[in-house]
Amino acid sequence: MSLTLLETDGPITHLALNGKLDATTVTALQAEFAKETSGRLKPAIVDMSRVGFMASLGIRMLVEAAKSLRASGHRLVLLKPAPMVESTLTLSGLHALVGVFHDEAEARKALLATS
Amino acid sequence: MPAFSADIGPTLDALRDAGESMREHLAGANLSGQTLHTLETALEEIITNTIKYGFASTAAPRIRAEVDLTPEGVELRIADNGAAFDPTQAPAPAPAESIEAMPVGGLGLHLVRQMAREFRYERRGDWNHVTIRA
Repeated sequence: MSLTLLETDGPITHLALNGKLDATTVTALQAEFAKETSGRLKPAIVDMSRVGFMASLGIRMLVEAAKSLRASGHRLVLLKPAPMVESTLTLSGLHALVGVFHDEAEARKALLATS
Repeated sequence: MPAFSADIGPTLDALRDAGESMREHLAGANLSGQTLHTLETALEEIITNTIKYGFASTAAPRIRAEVDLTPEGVELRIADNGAAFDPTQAPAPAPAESIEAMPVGGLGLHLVRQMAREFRYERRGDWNHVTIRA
């Protein structure tokens, strides 16, 4: 599992996750993920297109970051999750509570309109 | 003979290795993506829970997982010698209407319960036996 920063200088943080979000990888990644999302105090797009599997601890990592960003008046949205990952997001209830987009322009528009 | 079987040490690294091994063993079984996803989620969530909470009073922790391919579907069986715990009865997290109200834990067994076609538990002697049909 790796985290790639795609954009940090503009009004939005854009980053991508790559690999499996299971108990081992989330434990190793969660501090960096929090720093690069909620720690930047601005809206965040998390590209999920290269996440092949997500366990409940991955959901937990996303929920904690989204909650923290909301506390500072911003949103976190998810971009292009693969079908099985999107299914897990739906079953967990998170899908309905954060924005999930398959088009980056729409994700940006939604973030800037509401954050 | 099971399509996959493994003795898994009580660590998250050992669980990760077992998950990879299960995927490799089932790669040629022509299972749907949904079935594989259910098996992988169940293995991850049930054993993570056991490793984190099940072995506080167990001198020699043991976990075993097996997958059988049957005409009725795929069956994953997980056994451990930890504290008695029925994961099929774990409470579902309360529904949330906002991200602020969403609970941060308690989701794993809820996911398994929703994905599995069957989710059964039995305590036999000192062992928990969980069966998931995908």
